[in-house]
Amino acid sequence: MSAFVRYELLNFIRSLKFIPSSVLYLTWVFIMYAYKNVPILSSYGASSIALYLTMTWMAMAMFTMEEEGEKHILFAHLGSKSKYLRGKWLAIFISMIPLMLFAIFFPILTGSFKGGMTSEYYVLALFCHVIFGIFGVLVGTLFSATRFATKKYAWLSAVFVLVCSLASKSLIETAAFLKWILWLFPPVFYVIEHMGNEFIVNKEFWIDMIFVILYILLAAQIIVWLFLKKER
Amino acid sequence: MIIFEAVGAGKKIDGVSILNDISLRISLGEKIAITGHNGSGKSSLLKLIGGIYESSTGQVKRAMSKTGYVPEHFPENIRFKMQEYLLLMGKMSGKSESELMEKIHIYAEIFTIKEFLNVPLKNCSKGTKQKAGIIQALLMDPQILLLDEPLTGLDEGTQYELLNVLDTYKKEITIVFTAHESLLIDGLADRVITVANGRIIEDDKKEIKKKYKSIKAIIPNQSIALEIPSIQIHNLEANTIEMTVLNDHSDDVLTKLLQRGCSIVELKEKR
Repeated sequence: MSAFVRYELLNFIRSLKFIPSSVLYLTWVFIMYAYKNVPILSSYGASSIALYLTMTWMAMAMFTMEEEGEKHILFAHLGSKSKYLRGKWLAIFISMIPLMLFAIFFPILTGSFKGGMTSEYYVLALFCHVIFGIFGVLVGTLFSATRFATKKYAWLSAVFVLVCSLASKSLIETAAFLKWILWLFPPVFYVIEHMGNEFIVNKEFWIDMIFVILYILLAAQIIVWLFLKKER
Repeated sequence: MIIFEAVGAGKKIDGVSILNDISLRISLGEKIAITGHNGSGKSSLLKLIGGIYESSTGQVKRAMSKTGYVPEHFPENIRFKMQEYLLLMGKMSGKSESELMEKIHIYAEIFTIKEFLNVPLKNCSKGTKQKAGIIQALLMDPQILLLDEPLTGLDEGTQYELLNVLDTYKKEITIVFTAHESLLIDGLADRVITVANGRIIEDDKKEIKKKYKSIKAIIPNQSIALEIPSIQIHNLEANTIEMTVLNDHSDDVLTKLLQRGCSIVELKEKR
């Protein structure tokens, strides 16, 4: 597996496909911290959203990097299609690490925050970025490595999912019945809501976190199934 | 030992039926040629055998551990140098770097691509890329080797070299290939499957007949031996060589030898 992950990372770096998404992400973070004395948790919440969009873009770039023949050779060497998907995900998560660390440590190094960091804030910032990164990878995979990818409007559909998930709270406030549909979209607000000015660990926090983790596990299973169905 | 079995298998892609009612058994060590016109389903059948495609209908059982696959066209956008690519592919199959380096150099020598090992694959010619495609599959020591039109883009000399390499694996591995050219079919296959409109219309065990001829000749200089494609060449004495050639090509080789001032000492059939 490590040779495949290395293959994917080198291939991705040499394809230069990471540049547009990474540059936009870095610019976003630079602009966010152009102002000083910004609140800690809500700033991390905003940079997590940037990571969510960036990782969707990156996952789509990584899954569309190889042509069919190359993919079939890789299937043969790896001996399993699900191993191919797991390797791809691992490579995407490795490429996410520097972006995530940049978003967490850049404001600390430039002294942009109002107040000091605590160990709780570090854990929450890391957790929030990881969760949003995973959401992004799942959306990106859905629209580039399953049957949805072959549809004409794959990129547009991915953007639609991103916008709906980010606007879900306002959409539900406008039309309550939408809550029965919008639970299908990544539950970003279950995390963002806890990234307010004050961090409170209560029962509601743990229920939301369990829901988010269960959502990720279930969504990953469904995407593996959809991927294998496409590659049958 | 049966390593592949399909019963009434079919394959649909985007609602279009590309393989229908495929019933086929492949035993370990068989050398199978799949022939048919363009678009008949040869490549799809090859992918079904290797597990790159799963059947949409019917039943398929596979009992092979490692599958080497060579696509018809080697991918255009590989962003690695040849040696780097081959090393990474070999490592994916669990081979060690030292073992791989040794094998890569042996195959590079056989396929005469040593000078391209450190050249980016993107800059290599179609034929050189095709050779890299074949080497990546051989590196994993597959139990079954699937080759989709493997002679495409190879010059005549390399076509013989490939046949020679594949011939050395005679009993060890199963080889299934699609081909139009008679060279591979005559020289390697012991079974020929003909496909038309996604169906197997013929499945013949080829009669193992005397397929090769051995030509012993006295040559004025050694370079002549290299100019004439053959399966194998042995130097017997200073100016005497023994060439093994396909039955069908023996007249052609004899003509070429005589035209170059060689003297034929012996001609005999060989198995």
